[in-house]
Amino acid sequence: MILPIFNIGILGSRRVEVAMISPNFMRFYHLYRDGFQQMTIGRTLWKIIFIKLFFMFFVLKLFFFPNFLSTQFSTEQQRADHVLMQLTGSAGNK
Amino acid sequence: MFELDLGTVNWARAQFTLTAMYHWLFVPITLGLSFLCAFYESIYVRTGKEEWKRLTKFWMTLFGINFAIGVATGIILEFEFGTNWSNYSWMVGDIFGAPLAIEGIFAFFIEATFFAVMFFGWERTSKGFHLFSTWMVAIGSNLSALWILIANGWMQYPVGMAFNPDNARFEMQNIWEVLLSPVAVAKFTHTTSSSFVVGSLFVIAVSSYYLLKGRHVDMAKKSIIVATVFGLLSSLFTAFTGDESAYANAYTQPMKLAAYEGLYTGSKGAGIVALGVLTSGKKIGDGQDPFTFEISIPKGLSLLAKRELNGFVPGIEDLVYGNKAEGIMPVSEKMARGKAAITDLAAYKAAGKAGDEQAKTAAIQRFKANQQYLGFGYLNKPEEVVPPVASTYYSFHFMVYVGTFVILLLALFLRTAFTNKLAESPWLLRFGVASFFLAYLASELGWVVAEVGRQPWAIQDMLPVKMAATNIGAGHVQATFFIFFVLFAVLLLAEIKIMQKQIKIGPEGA
Repeated sequence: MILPIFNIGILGSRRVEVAMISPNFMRFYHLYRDGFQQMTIGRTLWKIIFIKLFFMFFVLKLFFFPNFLSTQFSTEQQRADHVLMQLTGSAGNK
Repeated sequence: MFELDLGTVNWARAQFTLTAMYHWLFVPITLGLSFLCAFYESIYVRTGKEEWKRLTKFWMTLFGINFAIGVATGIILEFEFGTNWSNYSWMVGDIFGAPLAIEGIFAFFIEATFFAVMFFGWERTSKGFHLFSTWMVAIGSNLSALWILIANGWMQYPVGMAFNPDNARFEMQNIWEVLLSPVAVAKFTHTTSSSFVVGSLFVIAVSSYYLLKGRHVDMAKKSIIVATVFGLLSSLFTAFTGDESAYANAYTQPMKLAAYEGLYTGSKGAGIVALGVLTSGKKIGDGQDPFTFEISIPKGLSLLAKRELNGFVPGIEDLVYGNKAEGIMPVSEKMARGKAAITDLAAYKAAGKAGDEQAKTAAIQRFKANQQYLGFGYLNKPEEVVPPVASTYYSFHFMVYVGTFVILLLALFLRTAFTNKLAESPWLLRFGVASFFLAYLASELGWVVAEVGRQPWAIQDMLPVKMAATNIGAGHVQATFFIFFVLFAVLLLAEIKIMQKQIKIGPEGA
């Protein structure tokens, strides 16, 4: 397997030099790296994005929004049966 | 027998409404401003003048703020589907899976590549490639909206599918019917073009503010000219697509059309209400005049809905109680057929469990004869098919008034901008600032018309909202409603504060 490896700078006293990957990838990487470094208002925005995503996926999704059918039933057939029961009223009053 | 606790359903509804309306605060600006950035940059590339580059960067910064605060707020809707709307979510999984997956791929692809070039690549890529990236962001954002609007269009007019009684799912039969349904096409074109108007008015509002303050005058004038041309063309197209949308409603959701026109009794050559106040406490079939005051355009509604002056437009009472002469089946009859479909679905399932193939075949044949009325079987009384008339009617009319006002305002802005008299017209600039908020409100109310007007259906005629919900306690949904309320309020305040700060700094901070 070929891993994408690139120069990751100085580690201790040893320069970690690794095989080159395509120049296009490196340009793309530098575009991001330099872009993030030069951001002004963007840093505040990124902070907001990360806090928001963390809250959404690690608090809301995890603790408040479980997928009802996935957590209550283990197979697709059980989920289908549950919904069919709801539709046909076989489950009685809900 | 089939009813859920309405407390849970209504809280789930309220939560979905809150989330969707909050999400929609960001979307119109993203859709509209992305194209304006592309226009501004195109002018820069064509003329090579630095002031257009500076101007483009400024609007891109505001676009970035709006995008950053709004990004992923739509994902919360998907959380809600899985938790609060599990029956619905299960049943439409096959139809929505493809459009939503395509939307996800589009969004990721564009955000990871072209956004980066658009914001970080000014000095790192060629002018041509940067411009291409900006256009790709604009086109991609709008195409991303296409898929979710197709999904919404399908809920309003479920075509190209078949209900599978074995797994309780609506399964896609013909993707082209889903993609090209008249409701989906009208919804996409009307929603995006109205968002272009909101985006244009955002630019006009900020630029008008600068002109009123005497700051960044040249940039503001340049910005206004492009935004006005784009906004005016878009607003005219919005009016056209709105008309198409109403025409589609006449055939696919006549109850919604009757509700937003306040039409209780149908007639040939029906007039359209230009201005009217609904009678408070009016009930279907009570014989009261629906309006305490009205000014109508004769035959206008027939022309809009049927494309002929004397076409019959059914009113709410025709649609509920039926109209033999016009071939409209009463809801009571549809309810009977729907209940038969439910009974046959249960019989099919029971026969399958018992291994009785003959009974299974007979049950499915009976089910198929009535399955188009399935949703009516869950109703308790015919009047349940009537959506809240007042909120639908007033939302629709306010939207139309604002749309008409915006066309006139933009025409006036264009004339004043081309005669270079903007700075001398402070009253017009004040209107320019205020109209943005009006357009925003109209855009949100458009969704009220679309969604409140189709109640009680989650999927038109097939699944009422009360059957789409999960049977979980109202307390859980209430708690998350208030968590969202606080979260959204904080994010909105952050957006307004950052946006205000950036606007005060002006193009120097871009």
